[in-house]
Amino acid sequence: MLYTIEKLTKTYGEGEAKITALDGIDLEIPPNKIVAILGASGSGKSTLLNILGCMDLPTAGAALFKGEDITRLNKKQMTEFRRKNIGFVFQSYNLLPDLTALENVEFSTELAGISSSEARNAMDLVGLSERLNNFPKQLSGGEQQRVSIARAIAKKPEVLLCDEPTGALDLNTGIKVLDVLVNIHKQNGTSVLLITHNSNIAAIADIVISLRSGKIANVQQNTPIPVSEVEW
Amino acid sequence: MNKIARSAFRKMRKNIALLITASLLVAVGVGFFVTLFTITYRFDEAALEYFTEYNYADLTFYGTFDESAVATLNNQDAVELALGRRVSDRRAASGATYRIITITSGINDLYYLQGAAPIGASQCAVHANSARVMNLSIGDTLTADGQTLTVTALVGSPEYIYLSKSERSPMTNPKAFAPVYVNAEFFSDGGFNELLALSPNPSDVRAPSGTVFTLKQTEQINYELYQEQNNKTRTFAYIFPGVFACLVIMVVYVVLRRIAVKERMQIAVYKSLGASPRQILLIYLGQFLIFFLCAALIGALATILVTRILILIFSQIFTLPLLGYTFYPALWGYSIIAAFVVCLIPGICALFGILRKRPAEVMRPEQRGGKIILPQRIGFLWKRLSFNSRYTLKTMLRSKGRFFAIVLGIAATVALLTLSLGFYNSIDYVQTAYFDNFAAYDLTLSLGFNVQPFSQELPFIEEIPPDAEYAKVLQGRVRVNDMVCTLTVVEQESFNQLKLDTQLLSSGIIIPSYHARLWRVKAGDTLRAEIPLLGVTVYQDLRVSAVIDQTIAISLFASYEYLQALNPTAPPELFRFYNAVYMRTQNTESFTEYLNQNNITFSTALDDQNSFSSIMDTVRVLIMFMIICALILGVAVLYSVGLINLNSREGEYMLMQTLGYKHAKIMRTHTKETFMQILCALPFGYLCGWLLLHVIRGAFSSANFVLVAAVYPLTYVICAAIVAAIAVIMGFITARRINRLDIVEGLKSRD
Repeated sequence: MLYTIEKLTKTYGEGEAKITALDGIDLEIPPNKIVAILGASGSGKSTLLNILGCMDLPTAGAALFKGEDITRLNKKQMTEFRRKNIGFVFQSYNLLPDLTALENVEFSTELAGISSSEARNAMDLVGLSERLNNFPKQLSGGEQQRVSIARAIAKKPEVLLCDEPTGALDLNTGIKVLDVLVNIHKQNGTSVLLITHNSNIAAIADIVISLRSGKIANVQQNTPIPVSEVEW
Repeated sequence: MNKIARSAFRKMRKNIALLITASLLVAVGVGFFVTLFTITYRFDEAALEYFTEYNYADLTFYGTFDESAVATLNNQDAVELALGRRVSDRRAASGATYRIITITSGINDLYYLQGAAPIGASQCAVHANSARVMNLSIGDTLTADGQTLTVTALVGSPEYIYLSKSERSPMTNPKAFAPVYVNAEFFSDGGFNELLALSPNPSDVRAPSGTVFTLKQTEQINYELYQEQNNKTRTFAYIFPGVFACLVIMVVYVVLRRIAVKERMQIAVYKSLGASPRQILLIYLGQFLIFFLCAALIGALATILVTRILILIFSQIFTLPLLGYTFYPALWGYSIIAAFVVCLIPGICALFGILRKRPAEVMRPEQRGGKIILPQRIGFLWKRLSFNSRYTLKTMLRSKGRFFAIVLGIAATVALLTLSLGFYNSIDYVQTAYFDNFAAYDLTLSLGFNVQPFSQELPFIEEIPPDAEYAKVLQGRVRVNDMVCTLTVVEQESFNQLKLDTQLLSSGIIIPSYHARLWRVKAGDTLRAEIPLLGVTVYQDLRVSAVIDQTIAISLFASYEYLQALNPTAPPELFRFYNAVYMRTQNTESFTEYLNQNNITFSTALDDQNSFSSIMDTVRVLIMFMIICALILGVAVLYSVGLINLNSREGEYMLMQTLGYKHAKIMRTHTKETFMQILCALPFGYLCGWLLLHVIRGAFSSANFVLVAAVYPLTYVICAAIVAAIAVIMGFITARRINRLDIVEGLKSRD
């Protein structure tokens, strides 16, 4: 299994203000799949993604990555884990505004200790080899998200964690971005965990996990539809 | 260049104004520190080298001696070399005093700056500093004691780094005093009134017969002044850079805290990509480190020029030929390390909170709830305020950390201005305290070691102006608690030339508060004194009857009657001698003319005032240096304060513009905020300045001069006016920036 999740709980706040984001969920995620985590706002999908990406720690329970409990790592080990194994794609792209598109990708490869030629390859892969020296503000939303994907894949991570990657994009641009993600998955065999509140987008995944109020509502094996058929 | 370094460099552009401002503070602080310490170190080394190479006498015996006394002294094992000399003060027609001194080869050797050693009885060498001011050059002549002397050399001497004429005139104006060096043939009669000795163990040397008083090298006023000079410079060298460092720490902390809030998401991204806290710290601190390193280097490089200029100014005040610029790599190194420290410590403190969080925590938006501020609780007052004023108060008090930091910055400017200007006030106060409130004489005459029996009237009694009131006193140096100080013995009943409660002298001595603090004594305690009387040293326990505040011409006071009462069995004549006269008269002019013609050493109240001014010349140079730095600090702090304020409010101002607020109204809000910050900072700054003045007062107080901390009301007004003026200028710059805010872009970037 890529991930094995056991009784994972995450709460925020204390007393009356206590919010349970994840409520003792158990889950297994196989490798080399596109997995969509589907749920409404506040269902706990981003919290789950953060814990799987070693961005946060659960209040209780365990999350095993290839058999290793990542919730027991110290901060330094968590940083190392993110650096080597995880590629993040955020809804609002989160490119570093002080660096050009290529530099944004190189930043990631440098940290992972990978040759900078991988950064150029990743930019080629997302179809942005013409915009290498543009700063984020000179790129459109879709282009920025593709740079963000290039940044995530350049270091060849085990898993891509995508938090609403099309959330800020229009349909056509969103489809282009999803296309890139699916192609990468096909070409490199990278596991993709895709968060979305849109069931149409979830339809491109091999597995769809539905979350409701911090609990697993449903886990469904899916026959993915082609990206070109997605609509929202 | 790796991407972390590249990110650090690119971030510089955004904060360029604040970086330059903070770097300016670093550069000035480093410049100040390195300059003053270079001078202190070099001054110390140069003086000690001068003392050693030019054989500054380890001991000076004052009295009446002949060749046999010199021989006796030379025969002592503890003495390496002893020489006799004549020292005699003569008045020139101009009113200046020429101190004619026999050249002694091997002790107190002359440093020839120009010319050659005098030959025969009609040639002389003149102290270079006096010669410069008196316009004397080689080949010129001067007349002393009816003899014309041709100047063959301009010299310096280890015993005259400072032109110390007497205890009351420790740094005489070179226009009024010149050491003139002559060969022994100049004095037609034999004998000496001073013996000089070189000795590795001065304490083992026995005073030859005829000695009235002995001074070790370290007890000479010249030596004391050299040490005081270094203490003063060293004190300044710490204070200003210290304050600057505090402010740089404040600026770095506030700016980085602001950046941490503003770039919260970016930091989260760095973390999520696997950047370690050290790497993130480098991205944000790198810009400051690079700027501060450059600033420290520029500041240190500037010292090469500034130090030379200061040495040039100081060389007009004292003569130390070996003093010149020297490069001290350690000082540069310390400064660069300090620049790093003032960057790293606040940087780590500002970013520590965000760096220790996990990326998901950083990404989560902070819930910033509104708070009820204190003025809001005062309902009737709050209701009366305009919306604009309410908004100003709320925004100002919303971030207490930033508010406090800004107030601290302005307060530091005010403090340094108060300190610098307060110093001027203190000097003025010291002068007023002595010459207006203590000294009541117009003229003092000195017979030096030529003590006269009290019964013997003044030889020039006929010439004394009819309106003159004079008092004969015995004034000399005594050793109390192993410290050499001046004792003035007066007649209890008749002495009124100083505003002194002479009645108190019947039961003991009056001592200055400086000595009381030093010796930890108060009225009623006793002191062990070593008093030389007619060649005999008397050890006496003296009761302290009162402690008084004296600022200059500091002396212990005793009465003839009290000293006599302590020794009832001794013949009364033993205590009835005098060597000085204090006089009150309106007709000083004609009388001083007579004294001049007859080579009688005297000093008018004006001479004493001039001497005091000369002592303060070095301090004035330092004060000017301080004021310039305080102004730079003021501009730098208020500019950065304005920028920090503006950066943190920019979004809100743009939103206000969107809502239809006029530019003038927004500007009014900003001005009100700055005004309130200044208002809060002023009292705190005044207090800090006043406290700093009190702290450094100690370093400026010595047995020759006591600094009293005084800040005049006008100084407070000037400080406030300077800060307000800088704030107004900065206000214009801010107004221009507010005017140029791009509403659409601004709101977009906030999203």
